[in-house]
Amino acid sequence: MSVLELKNVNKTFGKGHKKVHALKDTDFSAEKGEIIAIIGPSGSGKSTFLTIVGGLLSPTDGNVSINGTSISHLSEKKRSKVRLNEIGFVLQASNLIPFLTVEKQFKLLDKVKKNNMSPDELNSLYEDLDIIDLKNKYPNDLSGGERQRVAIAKALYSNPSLILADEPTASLDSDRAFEVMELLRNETKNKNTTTIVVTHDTRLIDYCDRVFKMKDGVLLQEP
Amino acid sequence: MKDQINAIVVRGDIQDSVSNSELEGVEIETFIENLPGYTEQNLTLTFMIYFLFIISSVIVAIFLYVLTVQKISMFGLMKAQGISNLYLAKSVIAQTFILAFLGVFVGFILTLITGKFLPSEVPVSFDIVTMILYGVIIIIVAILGAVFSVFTIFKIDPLKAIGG
Ligand SMILES: Nc1ncnc2c1ncn2[C@@H]1O[C@H](COP(=O)(O)OP(=O)(O)OP(=O)(O)O)[C@@H](O)[C@H]1O
Ligand SMILES: [Mg+2]
Repeated sequence: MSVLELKNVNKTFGKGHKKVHALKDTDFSAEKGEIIAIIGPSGSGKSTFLTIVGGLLSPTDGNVSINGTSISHLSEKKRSKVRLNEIGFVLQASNLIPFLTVEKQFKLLDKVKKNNMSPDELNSLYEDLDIIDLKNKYPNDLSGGERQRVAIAKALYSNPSLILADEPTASLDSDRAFEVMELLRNETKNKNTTTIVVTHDTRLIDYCDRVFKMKDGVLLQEP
Repeated sequence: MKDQINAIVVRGDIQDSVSNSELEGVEIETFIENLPGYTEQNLTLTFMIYFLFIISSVIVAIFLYVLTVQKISMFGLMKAQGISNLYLAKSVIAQTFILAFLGVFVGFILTLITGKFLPSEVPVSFDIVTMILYGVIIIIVAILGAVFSVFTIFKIDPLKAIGG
């Protein structure tokens, strides 16, 4: 069973002559331990793909399943539960809560969800990502790269089966960007999760097992 | 002379005292309420209190609403992460309760302290029961305001918060 499976998924926005076909007849699947890159020009539908996969948006038609459970026709309440338990988001803009310190970001997750990492695992995650000294800082006092590393830690902390990253390196210089990709790759392999990274930067695809190209809503695997 | 009343206050049953006389028997309460201007003045005061209630409820509700609106993107983020509406609603209402409770408590203390410092010629008396009752009403009103903001939270689209 694949971690993620899309069958004939379509997404259109708007009506009439303003209609945009953002995702066309997409079939896709991802297995455990894989890190996958999705590249493509602006407006080609990458974010749309990622938000549908992440249960933030319903497809117009077709089916999306995560670990064998179809999520495309669930109510928002049930999809929110899937997001909480199965998915870790790393976003271009930070997904950190501004008035919580780094440490409290994790505590908040403990309050709303079980089966997060143990304190020991969290500590080694802090070490892996080199954010131990940032524990008591607020997101606004962190640099872009530090914030991104904390965001990755936060996405990993809930032990998701799927990590979705939309341009995680966009605000970083290239050294930092390579570091972040290296990290995502290592965590994917060590924890045997699945990661999908959307990026503009073709240099980053070396860190990924498979690469897909999105063009005008059509997703194709690169050889 | 017109518009002048003389009254004698008696203990016990009025009917006994006034039978067979020119006097008219009236309960003390009724007498006071019929004093010229008394009822009107009281009514004005009561209206002032009610209007103050309405005004403070509106202010409290707007205050809570602004607090919520300021945090819309953050609530959206939490929703994107999968934190349920129910959890957010519970936290907002619980926090409002704490805020309103502290507010009423501080107000209560300040009122009593002010009372202590007023000169003895100023006729004030504090009815603790009434104060507690009004305090509770204010807390309830604040929570109703929070419930109103909770609907705003329900309507937040998590997708907007993360921006594609
Ligand atoms: N909510 C929406 N309403 C209408 N059209 C939308 C909406 N969201 C996206 N679109 C359209 O769908 C298409 C795909 O958008 P999407 O955000 O997926 O692009 P993208 O590949 O992520 O681009 P970028 O690299 O610039 O982030 C675009 O033409 C966009 O205008
Ligand atoms: Mg995008």
